[in-house]
Amino acid sequence: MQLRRCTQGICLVNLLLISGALALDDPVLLLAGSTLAIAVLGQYLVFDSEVRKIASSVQCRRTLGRNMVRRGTSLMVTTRITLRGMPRVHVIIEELPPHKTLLMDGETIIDTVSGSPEQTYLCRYRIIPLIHGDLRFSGISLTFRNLFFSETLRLSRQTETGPVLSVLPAGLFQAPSSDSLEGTRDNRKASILSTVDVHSLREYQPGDDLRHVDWKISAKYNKMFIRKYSTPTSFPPLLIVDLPWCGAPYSEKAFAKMISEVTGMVTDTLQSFQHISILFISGPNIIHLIREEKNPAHCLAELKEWMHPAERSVHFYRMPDRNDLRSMIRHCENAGAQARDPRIRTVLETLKERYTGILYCQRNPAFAGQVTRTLSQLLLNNAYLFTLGCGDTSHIRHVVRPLRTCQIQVTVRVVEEVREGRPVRRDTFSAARGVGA
Amino acid sequence: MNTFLPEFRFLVPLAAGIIAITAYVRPEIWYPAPALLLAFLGIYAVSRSWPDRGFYLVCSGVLLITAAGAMNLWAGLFTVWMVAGTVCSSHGILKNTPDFHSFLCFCGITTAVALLVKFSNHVVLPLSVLTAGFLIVLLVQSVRIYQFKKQYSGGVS
Repeated sequence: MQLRRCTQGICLVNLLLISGALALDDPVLLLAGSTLAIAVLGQYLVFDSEVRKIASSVQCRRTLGRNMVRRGTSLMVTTRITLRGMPRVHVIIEELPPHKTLLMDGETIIDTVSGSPEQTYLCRYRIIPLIHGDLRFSGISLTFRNLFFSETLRLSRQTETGPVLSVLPAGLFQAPSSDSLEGTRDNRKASILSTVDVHSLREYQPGDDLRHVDWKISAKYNKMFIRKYSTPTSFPPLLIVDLPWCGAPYSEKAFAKMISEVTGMVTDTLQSFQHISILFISGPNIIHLIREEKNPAHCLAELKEWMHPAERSVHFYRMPDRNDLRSMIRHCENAGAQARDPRIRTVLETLKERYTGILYCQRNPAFAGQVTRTLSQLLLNNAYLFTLGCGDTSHIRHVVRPLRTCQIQVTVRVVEEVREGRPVRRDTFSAARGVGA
Repeated sequence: MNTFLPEFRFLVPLAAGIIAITAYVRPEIWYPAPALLLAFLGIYAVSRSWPDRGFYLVCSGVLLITAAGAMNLWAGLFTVWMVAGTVCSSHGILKNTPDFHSFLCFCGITTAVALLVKFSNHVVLPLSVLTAGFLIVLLVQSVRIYQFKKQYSGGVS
Protein backbone atom coordinates (compact mmCIF):
# COMPACT_ATOMS: atom_id res chain seq x y z
CA MET A 1 0.00 0.00 0.00
CA GLN A 2 1.25 3.44 -0.90
CA LEU A 3 0.17 6.80 0.46
CA ARG A 4 -0.72 9.35 -2.15
CA ARG A 5 0.63 12.90 -1.93
CA CYS A 6 -2.41 14.27 -0.10
CA THR A 7 -2.20 11.51 2.52
CA GLN A 8 1.53 11.99 2.95
CA GLY A 9 0.87 15.67 3.75
CA ILE A 10 -1.89 14.77 6.22
CA CYS A 11 0.40 12.25 7.94
CA LEU A 12 3.08 14.93 8.25
CA VAL A 13 0.58 17.32 9.85
CA ASN A 14 -0.51 14.52 12.16
CA LEU A 15 3.09 13.89 13.20
CA LEU A 16 3.58 17.59 13.95
CA LEU A 17 0.41 17.69 16.06
CA ILE A 18 1.37 14.61 18.08
CA SER A 19 4.91 15.93 18.60
CA GLY A 20 3.49 19.29 19.65
CA ALA A 21 1.07 17.59 22.04
CA LEU A 22 3.88 15.58 23.57
CA ALA A 23 6.19 18.57 23.85
CA LEU A 24 3.61 21.04 25.20
CA ASP A 25 1.55 18.45 27.11
CA ASP A 26 -1.51 19.88 25.37
CA PRO A 27 -4.59 17.57 25.25
CA VAL A 28 -6.23 19.66 22.50
CA LEU A 29 -3.36 19.01 20.11
CA LEU A 30 -3.53 15.34 21.05
CA LEU A 31 -7.24 15.28 20.24
CA ALA A 32 -6.64 16.92 16.86
CA GLY A 33 -3.72 14.63 16.03
CA SER A 34 -5.37 11.42 17.16
CA THR A 35 -8.63 12.14 15.33
CA LEU A 36 -6.64 12.83 12.19
CA ALA A 37 -4.79 9.52 12.59
CA ILE A 38 -8.08 7.68 13.18
CA ALA A 39 -9.53 9.25 10.05
CA VAL A 40 -6.56 8.15 7.93
CA LEU A 41 -6.63 4.63 9.41
CA GLY A 42 -10.38 4.39 8.85
CA GLN A 43 -10.01 5.44 5.23
CA TYR A 44 -7.29 2.86 4.79
CA LEU A 45 -9.49 0.08 6.18
CA VAL A 46 -12.34 1.12 3.88
CA PHE A 47 -9.94 1.16 0.91
CA ASP A 48 -8.58 -2.26 1.84
CA SER A 49 -12.08 -3.69 2.07
CA GLU A 50 -12.96 -2.31 -1.37
CA VAL A 51 -9.74 -3.71 -2.86
CA ARG A 52 -10.61 -7.16 -1.52
CA LYS A 53 -14.11 -6.98 -2.97
CA ILE A 54 -12.79 -6.01 -6.40
CA ALA A 55 -10.01 -8.63 -6.36
CA SER A 56 -12.46 -11.39 -5.44
CA SER A 57 -14.65 -10.49 -8.41
CA VAL A 58 -11.85 -10.72 -11.00
CA GLN A 59 -12.21 -13.40 -13.65
CA CYS A 60 -9.54 -13.80 -16.29
CA ARG A 61 -9.82 -15.86 -19.46
CA ARG A 62 -6.98 -15.86 -21.94
CA THR A 63 -7.04 -17.35 -25.43
CA LEU A 64 -4.08 -17.79 -27.73
CA GLY A 65 -4.07 -17.58 -31.51
CA ARG A 66 -2.21 -20.89 -31.53
CA ASN A 67 -1.21 -23.17 -28.71
CA MET A 68 2.10 -24.02 -30.32
CA VAL A 69 4.33 -21.48 -32.02
CA ARG A 70 7.84 -21.32 -33.32
CA ARG A 71 10.37 -19.12 -31.61
CA GLY A 72 10.47 -15.71 -33.30
CA THR A 73 6.98 -15.90 -34.78
CA SER A 74 4.22 -13.60 -33.60
CA LEU A 75 1.23 -14.81 -31.64
CA MET A 76 -2.08 -13.09 -31.00
CA VAL A 77 -3.26 -13.16 -27.40
CA THR A 78 -6.75 -12.17 -26.32
CA THR A 79 -7.53 -11.73 -22.65
CA ARG A 80 -10.99 -11.13 -21.23
CA ILE A 81 -10.96 -9.72 -17.72
CA THR A 82 -14.19 -9.34 -15.82
CA LEU A 83 -14.36 -7.37 -12.58
CA ARG A 84 -16.84 -5.51 -10.46
CA GLY A 85 -15.92 -1.87 -9.96
CA MET A 86 -16.39 0.01 -6.73
CA PRO A 87 -17.28 3.69 -6.43
CA ARG A 88 -14.31 6.00 -5.82
CA VAL A 89 -11.78 3.24 -6.54
CA HIS A 90 -10.05 3.54 -9.85
CA VAL A 91 -8.61 0.27 -11.19
CA ILE A 92 -5.93 -0.06 -13.87
CA ILE A 93 -5.48 -3.55 -15.29
CA GLU A 94 -2.16 -4.53 -16.75
CA GLU A 95 -1.72 -7.77 -18.65
CA LEU A 96 1.65 -9.36 -17.99
CA PRO A 97 2.98 -11.35 -20.98
CA PRO A 98 5.37 -14.25 -20.34
CA HIS A 99 9.01 -13.50 -19.64
CA LYS A 100 11.40 -13.47 -22.61
CA THR A 101 8.74 -12.35 -25.03
CA LEU A 102 8.63 -9.20 -27.09
CA LEU A 103 5.43 -7.16 -27.25
CA MET A 104 4.80 -6.36 -30.92
CA ASP A 105 1.61 -4.35 -30.88
CA GLY A 106 -1.67 -4.02 -29.05
CA GLU A 107 -2.56 -2.72 -25.61
CA THR A 108 -1.73 -4.47 -22.39
CA ILE A 109 -2.99 -1.73 -20.04
CA ILE A 110 -6.70 -1.11 -19.54
CA ASP A 111 -8.11 1.88 -17.70
CA THR A 112 -11.40 0.78 -16.13
CA VAL A 113 -14.45 2.84 -15.29
CA SER A 114 -14.75 3.25 -11.53
CA GLY A 115 -18.04 2.42 -9.92
CA SER A 116 -19.34 0.42 -12.87
CA PRO A 117 -21.10 -2.87 -12.15
CA GLU A 118 -19.58 -6.13 -13.35
CA GLN A 119 -17.96 -5.36 -16.67
CA THR A 120 -15.73 -7.27 -19.11
CA TYR A 121 -12.62 -5.67 -20.55
CA LEU A 122 -10.85 -6.99 -23.61
CA CYS A 123 -7.13 -6.88 -24.11
CA ARG A 124 -5.62 -7.91 -27.47
CA TYR A 125 -1.96 -7.87 -28.28
CA ARG A 126 0.72 -9.75 -30.19
CA ILE A 127 3.90 -11.14 -28.74
CA ILE A 128 7.02 -12.75 -30.15
CA PRO A 129 8.59 -15.50 -28.00
CA LEU A 130 12.35 -15.14 -27.85
CA ILE A 131 13.15 -18.50 -26.28
CA HIS A 132 11.76 -21.95 -26.81
CA GLY A 133 10.10 -24.15 -24.21
CA ASP A 134 6.88 -24.03 -22.23
CA LEU A 135 6.10 -20.46 -21.20
CA ARG A 136 3.50 -19.45 -18.66
CA PHE A 137 1.99 -15.98 -18.58
CA SER A 138 3.04 -13.85 -15.63
CA GLY A 139 -0.58 -13.08 -14.72
CA ILE A 140 -2.29 -9.73 -14.44
CA SER A 141 -1.50 -6.72 -12.33
CA LEU A 142 -4.23 -4.57 -10.81
CA THR A 143 -3.50 -1.06 -9.58
CA PHE A 144 -6.17 0.35 -7.24
CA ARG A 145 -6.34 4.05 -6.50
CA ASN A 146 -8.59 6.27 -4.50
CA LEU A 147 -8.10 9.81 -3.21
CA PHE A 148 -5.75 8.81 -0.45
CA PHE A 149 -4.13 5.45 -1.22
CA SER A 150 -2.88 3.31 -4.06
CA GLU A 151 -2.21 -0.41 -4.08
CA THR A 152 -0.81 -2.80 -6.68
CA LEU A 153 -1.88 -6.41 -6.59
CA ARG A 154 -0.39 -9.05 -8.85
CA LEU A 155 -2.71 -11.93 -9.62
CA SER A 156 -0.69 -14.96 -10.63
CA ARG A 157 -2.90 -17.88 -9.78
CA GLN A 158 -3.27 -20.75 -12.21
CA THR A 159 -6.34 -19.16 -13.79
CA GLU A 160 -4.45 -15.94 -14.47
CA THR A 161 -1.21 -17.53 -15.72
CA GLY A 162 -2.73 -20.06 -18.09
CA PRO A 163 -2.72 -21.38 -20.73
CA VAL A 164 0.80 -22.65 -21.22
CA LEU A 165 2.39 -21.44 -24.43
CA SER A 166 4.54 -24.06 -26.15
CA VAL A 167 7.31 -22.43 -28.11
CA LEU A 168 9.17 -24.66 -30.52
CA PRO A 169 12.73 -23.98 -31.56
CA ALA A 170 13.29 -22.28 -34.90
CA GLY A 171 15.81 -23.11 -37.60
CA LEU A 172 18.74 -20.82 -38.09
CA PHE A 173 18.53 -19.27 -41.50
CA GLN A 174 20.66 -16.17 -41.12
CA ALA A 175 23.21 -15.39 -43.76
CA PRO A 176 26.59 -16.85 -42.90
CA SER A 177 29.27 -14.49 -41.67
CA SER A 178 31.81 -16.87 -42.99
CA ASP A 179 35.34 -16.15 -43.87
CA SER A 180 34.93 -18.41 -46.83
CA LEU A 181 35.72 -17.04 -50.25
CA GLU A 182 34.94 -18.46 -53.65
CA GLY A 183 34.12 -21.86 -52.19
CA THR A 184 37.56 -22.44 -50.74
CA ARG A 185 39.05 -21.98 -47.34
CA ASP A 186 42.60 -21.53 -46.16
CA ASN A 187 44.06 -23.16 -43.15
CA ARG A 188 45.87 -20.29 -41.43
CA LYS A 189 47.12 -22.25 -38.48
CA ALA A 190 50.85 -22.24 -37.85
CA SER A 191 52.19 -25.23 -39.65
CA ILE A 192 55.59 -26.68 -40.35
CA LEU A 193 54.30 -27.52 -43.80
CA SER A 194 54.20 -24.20 -45.64
CA THR A 195 53.26 -24.36 -49.25
CA VAL A 196 53.95 -21.91 -52.00
CA ASP A 197 50.45 -20.40 -51.70
CA VAL A 198 50.78 -16.88 -50.32
CA HIS A 199 47.73 -15.83 -48.40
CA SER A 200 48.70 -12.21 -47.78
CA LEU A 201 51.53 -9.80 -47.11
CA ARG A 202 52.06 -7.66 -44.07
CA GLU A 203 54.73 -5.40 -42.67
CA TYR A 204 57.58 -6.95 -40.76
CA GLN A 205 57.26 -7.05 -37.01
CA PRO A 206 60.09 -7.86 -34.57
CA GLY A 207 60.20 -11.61 -34.04
CA ASP A 208 59.06 -12.59 -37.54
CA ASP A 209 61.02 -15.25 -39.39
CA LEU A 210 63.37 -13.53 -41.80
CA ARG A 211 63.07 -16.46 -44.19
CA HIS A 212 59.48 -15.34 -44.91
CA VAL A 213 60.50 -11.84 -46.04
CA ASP A 214 59.34 -11.02 -49.56
CA TRP A 215 62.48 -9.26 -50.73
CA LYS A 216 61.09 -8.12 -54.02
CA ILE A 217 58.10 -6.30 -52.50
CA SER A 218 60.30 -5.00 -49.68
CA ALA A 219 62.73 -3.50 -52.16
CA LYS A 220 59.88 -1.96 -54.13
CA TYR A 221 58.30 -0.19 -51.15
CA ASN A 222 61.48 0.27 -49.13
CA LYS A 223 59.86 -1.56 -46.20
CA MET A 224 60.19 -5.11 -44.92
CA PHE A 225 57.16 -7.26 -45.93
CA ILE A 226 56.45 -10.76 -44.61
CA ARG A 227 54.66 -13.42 -46.62
CA LYS A 228 51.76 -15.22 -44.96
CA TYR A 229 51.43 -18.76 -46.29
CA SER A 230 48.36 -20.87 -46.41
CA THR A 231 47.60 -24.51 -47.04
CA PRO A 232 44.44 -25.89 -48.61
CA THR A 233 42.37 -28.06 -46.36
CA SER A 234 39.44 -30.44 -46.70
CA PHE A 235 36.13 -29.70 -45.06
CA PRO A 236 34.76 -31.61 -42.10
CA PRO A 237 31.63 -33.66 -42.68
CA LEU A 238 28.21 -32.36 -41.72
CA LEU A 239 26.33 -34.44 -39.18
CA ILE A 240 22.56 -34.45 -39.54
CA VAL A 241 20.72 -35.95 -36.61
CA ASP A 242 17.08 -36.87 -37.19
CA LEU A 243 15.54 -36.81 -33.71
CA PRO A 244 12.51 -39.01 -33.05
CA TRP A 245 9.10 -37.48 -32.42
CA CYS A 246 8.22 -37.33 -28.75
CA GLY A 247 4.58 -38.01 -29.61
CA ALA A 248 5.22 -41.49 -31.02
CA PRO A 249 6.87 -44.59 -29.57
CA TYR A 250 10.50 -45.17 -30.42
CA SER A 251 13.20 -47.58 -29.33
CA GLU A 252 15.10 -46.04 -26.42
CA LYS A 253 17.96 -48.49 -26.83
CA ALA A 254 18.35 -47.56 -30.48
CA PHE A 255 18.23 -43.87 -29.56
CA ALA A 256 20.92 -44.39 -26.90
CA LYS A 257 23.01 -46.15 -29.51
CA MET A 258 22.49 -43.28 -31.91
CA ILE A 259 23.63 -40.80 -29.23
CA SER A 260 26.82 -42.76 -28.60
CA GLU A 261 27.52 -43.03 -32.34
CA VAL A 262 26.98 -39.32 -32.90
CA THR A 263 29.17 -38.45 -29.91
CA GLY A 264 31.95 -40.70 -31.19
CA MET A 265 31.69 -39.20 -34.66
CA VAL A 266 31.81 -35.68 -33.24
CA THR A 267 34.91 -36.47 -31.18
CA ASP A 268 36.69 -38.03 -34.16
CA THR A 269 35.82 -35.15 -36.45
CA LEU A 270 36.91 -32.52 -33.95
CA GLN A 271 40.26 -34.23 -33.56
CA SER A 272 40.74 -34.35 -37.31
CA PHE A 273 39.28 -31.06 -38.51
CA GLN A 274 39.23 -28.86 -35.40
CA HIS A 275 35.60 -27.89 -36.03
CA ILE A 276 32.30 -29.52 -36.84
CA SER A 277 28.77 -28.60 -37.90
CA ILE A 278 25.75 -30.53 -36.69
CA LEU A 279 22.19 -30.06 -37.92
CA PHE A 280 19.37 -31.33 -35.72
CA ILE A 281 16.11 -32.10 -37.43
CA SER A 282 13.01 -33.88 -36.26
CA GLY A 283 10.97 -35.00 -39.23
CA PRO A 284 10.43 -32.00 -41.53
CA ASN A 285 11.37 -29.54 -38.73
CA ILE A 286 14.76 -27.92 -38.36
CA ILE A 287 15.49 -27.86 -34.65
CA HIS A 288 18.98 -26.45 -34.26
CA LEU A 289 22.22 -25.90 -36.13
CA ILE A 290 25.63 -26.04 -34.48
CA ARG A 291 27.79 -24.20 -36.98
CA GLU A 292 31.52 -24.81 -37.08
CA GLU A 293 31.92 -25.43 -33.38
CA LYS A 294 35.54 -25.70 -32.31
CA ASN A 295 35.29 -26.25 -28.59
CA PRO A 296 34.80 -29.99 -27.82
CA ALA A 297 33.33 -29.33 -24.36
CA HIS A 298 30.85 -26.83 -25.75
CA CYS A 299 30.01 -29.17 -28.59
CA LEU A 300 29.28 -32.05 -26.22
CA ALA A 301 27.22 -29.77 -24.01
CA GLU A 302 25.15 -28.77 -27.03
CA LEU A 303 24.71 -32.42 -27.94
CA LYS A 304 23.51 -33.12 -24.42
CA GLU A 305 21.05 -30.25 -24.65
CA TRP A 306 19.56 -31.09 -28.02
CA MET A 307 19.79 -34.88 -28.31
CA HIS A 308 16.38 -35.82 -27.07
CA PRO A 309 13.03 -36.57 -28.75
CA ALA A 310 11.56 -33.35 -30.08
CA GLU A 311 8.12 -31.96 -30.73
CA ARG A 312 7.15 -31.80 -34.41
CA SER A 313 4.96 -28.94 -35.49
CA VAL A 314 4.99 -30.12 -39.11
CA HIS A 315 4.39 -33.66 -40.34
CA PHE A 316 4.75 -34.97 -43.88
CA TYR A 317 2.42 -37.95 -43.54
CA ARG A 318 4.59 -40.02 -45.88
CA MET A 319 4.60 -37.34 -48.54
CA PRO A 320 6.55 -38.47 -51.61
CA ASP A 321 9.25 -36.32 -53.11
CA ARG A 322 8.20 -34.40 -56.23
CA ASN A 323 11.24 -35.64 -58.17
CA ASP A 324 10.36 -39.22 -57.28
CA LEU A 325 6.83 -38.64 -58.49
CA ARG A 326 8.10 -37.25 -61.79
CA SER A 327 10.39 -40.22 -62.27
CA MET A 328 7.51 -42.57 -61.49
CA ILE A 329 5.37 -40.82 -64.10
CA ARG A 330 8.16 -41.12 -66.65
CA HIS A 331 8.58 -44.79 -65.74
CA CYS A 332 4.84 -45.41 -66.22
CA GLU A 333 4.94 -43.64 -69.58
CA ASN A 334 7.90 -45.71 -70.78
CA ALA A 335 6.45 -48.98 -69.48
CA GLY A 336 3.04 -48.16 -70.99
CA ALA A 337 4.63 -47.48 -74.37
CA GLN A 338 6.39 -50.83 -74.31
CA ALA A 339 3.51 -52.90 -72.91
CA ARG A 340 1.50 -54.94 -75.37
CA ASP A 341 -1.22 -56.19 -73.07
CA PRO A 342 -4.03 -53.55 -73.02
CA ARG A 343 -4.88 -54.39 -69.37
CA ILE A 344 -1.33 -53.57 -68.28
CA ARG A 345 -1.46 -50.36 -70.29
CA THR A 346 -4.72 -49.42 -68.56
CA VAL A 347 -3.19 -50.08 -65.15
CA LEU A 348 -0.13 -48.01 -66.02
CA GLU A 349 -2.31 -45.19 -67.36
CA THR A 350 -4.30 -45.21 -64.13
CA LEU A 351 -1.10 -45.14 -62.09
CA LYS A 352 0.24 -42.27 -64.17
CA GLU A 353 -2.99 -40.31 -63.65
CA ARG A 354 -2.79 -40.89 -59.90
CA TYR A 355 0.83 -39.77 -59.75
CA THR A 356 0.10 -36.73 -61.90
CA GLY A 357 -2.84 -35.84 -59.67
CA ILE A 358 -0.66 -36.06 -56.56
CA LEU A 359 2.09 -34.02 -58.26
CA TYR A 360 -0.42 -31.38 -59.28
CA CYS A 361 -1.87 -31.03 -55.78
CA GLN A 362 1.37 -31.30 -53.87
CA ARG A 363 3.35 -28.10 -53.37
CA ASN A 364 7.03 -27.92 -52.74
CA PRO A 365 7.38 -28.15 -48.94
CA ALA A 366 8.89 -25.29 -46.96
CA PHE A 367 11.20 -27.78 -45.31
CA ALA A 368 13.14 -28.32 -48.55
CA GLY A 369 13.79 -24.57 -48.79
CA GLN A 370 14.82 -24.40 -45.15
CA VAL A 371 17.29 -27.25 -45.64
CA THR A 372 18.77 -25.60 -48.72
CA ARG A 373 19.15 -22.25 -46.96
CA THR A 374 20.72 -23.86 -43.90
CA LEU A 375 23.13 -25.96 -45.92
CA SER A 376 24.16 -22.99 -48.05
CA GLN A 377 25.94 -21.58 -44.99
CA LEU A 378 28.30 -24.54 -44.81
CA LEU A 379 31.21 -25.77 -46.85
CA LEU A 380 31.33 -29.53 -46.92
CA ASN A 381 32.10 -32.57 -49.01
CA ASN A 382 30.46 -35.28 -46.90
CA ALA A 383 27.35 -35.51 -44.82
CA TYR A 384 26.16 -38.22 -42.45
CA LEU A 385 22.52 -38.53 -41.55
CA PHE A 386 21.63 -40.43 -38.40
CA THR A 387 18.07 -41.59 -38.02
CA LEU A 388 16.13 -44.22 -36.13
CA GLY A 389 14.04 -44.86 -39.23
CA CYS A 390 10.86 -45.18 -37.20
CA GLY A 391 7.56 -43.70 -38.29
CA ASP A 392 7.41 -41.45 -41.31
CA THR A 393 10.79 -41.18 -43.04
CA SER A 394 9.68 -39.29 -46.14
CA HIS A 395 11.50 -36.16 -44.96
CA ILE A 396 14.87 -37.91 -45.39
CA ARG A 397 14.49 -37.69 -49.16
CA HIS A 398 14.05 -33.93 -48.82
CA VAL A 399 17.33 -33.69 -46.91
CA VAL A 400 19.35 -36.03 -49.06
CA ARG A 401 18.30 -34.67 -52.44
CA PRO A 402 19.62 -31.07 -52.08
CA LEU A 403 22.87 -32.42 -50.66
CA ARG A 404 23.36 -34.79 -53.57
CA THR A 405 22.48 -31.98 -55.99
CA CYS A 406 25.45 -30.08 -54.55
CA GLN A 407 27.72 -33.07 -55.22
CA ILE A 408 27.94 -33.84 -51.52
CA GLN A 409 28.32 -37.48 -50.61
CA VAL A 410 25.57 -38.44 -48.17
CA THR A 411 25.57 -41.52 -45.98
CA VAL A 412 22.33 -42.39 -44.24
CA ARG A 413 22.78 -44.36 -41.05
CA VAL A 414 19.62 -46.03 -39.78
CA VAL A 415 20.37 -46.95 -36.19
CA GLU A 416 18.54 -50.04 -35.08
CA GLU A 417 18.25 -51.82 -31.79
CA VAL A 418 20.46 -54.95 -31.59
CA ARG A 419 18.23 -57.92 -30.81
CA GLU A 420 19.30 -61.29 -29.52
CA GLY A 421 19.50 -64.04 -32.13
CA ARG A 422 19.76 -61.53 -34.92
CA PRO A 423 23.07 -60.92 -36.65
CA VAL A 424 24.49 -57.43 -36.24
CA ARG A 425 24.25 -55.62 -39.54
CA ARG A 426 27.51 -54.03 -40.54
CA ASP A 427 26.84 -51.01 -42.65
CA THR A 428 29.13 -49.03 -44.85
CA PHE A 429 28.90 -46.10 -42.50
CA SER A 430 30.80 -47.85 -39.71
CA ALA A 431 33.74 -48.21 -42.03
CA ALA A 432 33.49 -44.60 -43.03
CA ARG A 433 33.69 -43.28 -39.48
CA GLY A 434 37.34 -42.65 -39.76
CA VAL A 435 36.78 -40.31 -42.66
CA GLY A 436 38.57 -37.45 -41.03
CA ALA A 437 41.65 -39.40 -40.17
CA MET B 1 -31.62 24.25 -9.65
CA ASN B 2 -30.52 22.76 -6.36
CA THR B 3 -27.48 24.71 -5.16
CA PHE B 4 -27.47 23.21 -1.66
CA LEU B 5 -24.33 21.13 -1.77
CA PRO B 6 -24.02 18.08 0.53
CA GLU B 7 -21.13 19.62 2.46
CA PHE B 8 -23.37 22.51 3.50
CA ARG B 9 -25.05 20.02 5.88
CA PHE B 10 -21.84 20.22 7.89
CA LEU B 11 -20.57 23.70 7.03
CA VAL B 12 -23.65 25.54 8.23
CA PRO B 13 -23.78 23.76 11.64
CA LEU B 14 -20.02 24.26 11.94
CA ALA B 15 -20.28 28.01 11.40
CA ALA B 16 -23.30 28.29 13.68
CA GLY B 17 -21.69 26.09 16.33
CA ILE B 18 -18.39 27.99 16.39
CA ILE B 19 -20.17 31.35 16.70
CA ALA B 20 -22.50 30.00 19.37
CA ILE B 21 -19.74 28.36 21.38
CA THR B 22 -17.60 31.50 21.18
CA ALA B 23 -20.53 33.57 22.36
CA TYR B 24 -21.36 31.10 25.13
CA VAL B 25 -17.87 30.51 26.46
CA ARG B 26 -16.71 34.12 26.02
CA PRO B 27 -13.01 33.46 26.18
CA GLU B 28 -10.53 36.21 26.92
CA ILE B 29 -9.20 36.10 23.37
CA TRP B 30 -12.35 35.38 21.38
CA TYR B 31 -11.28 35.99 17.77
CA PRO B 32 -9.05 32.97 16.85
CA ALA B 33 -11.91 30.51 16.36
CA PRO B 34 -14.11 32.82 14.19
CA ALA B 35 -11.02 33.92 12.23
CA LEU B 36 -9.97 30.32 11.58
CA LEU B 37 -13.56 29.49 10.66
CA LEU B 38 -13.41 32.21 8.03
CA ALA B 39 -10.05 30.84 6.86
CA PHE B 40 -11.55 27.34 6.60
CA LEU B 41 -14.54 28.63 4.67
CA GLY B 42 -12.28 30.68 2.42
CA ILE B 43 -10.06 27.68 1.64
CA TYR B 44 -13.14 25.58 1.05
CA ALA B 45 -14.39 28.13 -1.48
CA VAL B 46 -11.05 28.75 -3.17
CA SER B 47 -9.72 25.20 -3.39
CA ARG B 48 -12.56 23.71 -5.43
CA SER B 49 -10.37 23.13 -8.47
CA TRP B 50 -7.08 22.53 -6.67
CA PRO B 51 -5.42 19.17 -6.73
CA ASP B 52 -5.04 17.55 -3.28
CA ARG B 53 -7.89 19.65 -1.96
CA GLY B 54 -8.25 17.35 1.02
CA PHE B 55 -4.84 18.32 2.32
CA TYR B 56 -5.65 22.05 2.34
CA LEU B 57 -9.02 21.48 3.98
CA VAL B 58 -7.47 19.22 6.62
CA CYS B 59 -4.70 21.74 7.37
CA SER B 60 -7.13 24.62 7.83
CA GLY B 61 -9.59 22.35 9.67
CA VAL B 62 -6.95 21.20 12.15
CA LEU B 63 -6.20 24.79 13.10
CA LEU B 64 -9.93 25.41 13.63
CA ILE B 65 -10.19 22.24 15.76
CA THR B 66 -7.27 23.39 17.90
CA ALA B 67 -8.79 26.84 18.36
CA ALA B 68 -12.21 25.41 19.22
CA GLY B 69 -10.66 22.77 21.51
CA ALA B 70 -8.75 25.50 23.34
CA MET B 71 -12.12 27.01 24.30
CA ASN B 72 -13.69 23.68 25.24
CA LEU B 73 -12.73 20.09 24.51
CA TRP B 74 -16.29 19.12 23.49
CA ALA B 75 -16.38 22.12 21.18
CA GLY B 76 -13.19 20.70 19.64
CA LEU B 77 -14.88 17.32 19.25
CA PHE B 78 -17.90 18.93 17.59
CA THR B 79 -15.54 20.75 15.20
CA VAL B 80 -13.78 17.45 14.42
CA TRP B 81 -17.07 15.89 13.35
CA MET B 82 -18.13 18.85 11.25
CA VAL B 83 -14.74 19.28 9.57
CA ALA B 84 -14.55 15.55 8.85
CA GLY B 85 -18.09 15.65 7.41
CA THR B 86 -17.22 18.65 5.25
CA VAL B 87 -14.02 17.05 3.90
CA CYS B 88 -15.77 13.73 3.20
CA SER B 89 -18.78 15.37 1.55
CA SER B 90 -16.63 17.62 -0.61
CA HIS B 91 -14.75 14.53 -1.86
CA GLY B 92 -17.91 12.55 -2.49
CA ILE B 93 -17.15 9.87 0.07
CA LEU B 94 -20.25 10.45 2.17
CA LYS B 95 -23.06 9.45 -0.15
CA ASN B 96 -24.39 6.01 0.66
CA THR B 97 -25.65 4.37 3.81
CA PRO B 98 -22.40 2.42 4.39
CA ASP B 99 -20.52 5.71 4.16
CA PHE B 100 -22.71 7.21 6.86
CA HIS B 101 -22.20 4.11 8.98
CA SER B 102 -18.46 4.57 8.66
CA PHE B 103 -18.83 8.23 9.56
CA LEU B 104 -20.88 7.39 12.63
CA CYS B 105 -18.28 4.85 13.61
CA PHE B 106 -15.63 7.55 13.28
CA CYS B 107 -17.71 9.87 15.48
CA GLY B 108 -18.02 7.15 18.13
CA ILE B 109 -14.30 6.41 18.17
CA THR B 110 -13.39 10.11 18.39
CA THR B 111 -15.84 10.50 21.26
CA ALA B 112 -14.07 7.67 23.07
CA VAL B 113 -10.74 9.34 22.39
CA ALA B 114 -12.10 12.67 23.66
CA LEU B 115 -13.28 10.96 26.84
CA LEU B 116 -9.87 9.38 27.26
CA VAL B 117 -8.16 12.72 26.78
CA LYS B 118 -10.61 14.46 29.11
CA PHE B 119 -10.11 12.07 32.00
CA SER B 120 -6.34 11.93 31.67
CA ASN B 121 -4.27 14.57 33.39
CA HIS B 122 -1.41 14.36 30.92
CA VAL B 123 -0.79 13.52 27.28
CA VAL B 124 1.53 10.55 27.80
CA LEU B 125 -1.03 8.03 29.03
CA PRO B 126 -3.72 8.56 26.34
CA LEU B 127 -0.99 8.79 23.71
CA SER B 128 0.44 5.44 24.84
CA VAL B 129 -3.01 3.85 24.73
CA LEU B 130 -3.71 5.23 21.28
CA THR B 131 -0.28 4.21 19.96
CA ALA B 132 -0.75 0.68 21.29
CA GLY B 133 -4.18 0.52 19.65
CA PHE B 134 -2.77 1.73 16.34
CA LEU B 135 0.09 -0.76 16.46
CA ILE B 136 -2.27 -3.65 17.12
CA VAL B 137 -4.54 -2.63 14.24
CA LEU B 138 -1.56 -2.23 11.89
CA LEU B 139 -0.11 -5.58 12.96
CA VAL B 140 -3.37 -7.42 12.32
CA GLN B 141 -3.74 -5.60 9.03
CA SER B 142 -0.22 -6.51 7.89
CA VAL B 143 -0.94 -10.21 8.55
CA ARG B 144 -4.20 -9.97 6.65
CA ILE B 145 -2.49 -8.28 3.70
CA TYR B 146 0.21 -10.96 3.66
CA GLN B 147 -2.42 -13.71 3.52
CA PHE B 148 -4.41 -11.83 0.92
CA LYS B 149 -1.43 -11.33 -1.41
CA LYS B 150 -0.29 -14.89 -0.92
CA GLN B 151 -3.70 -16.17 -1.91
CA TYR B 152 -3.74 -14.15 -5.12
CA SER B 153 -0.15 -14.86 -6.06
CA GLY B 154 -0.87 -18.57 -6.40
CA GLY B 155 0.26 -19.67 -2.93
CA VAL B 156 -1.94 -21.25 -0.29
CA SER B 157 -3.11 -18.87 2.42
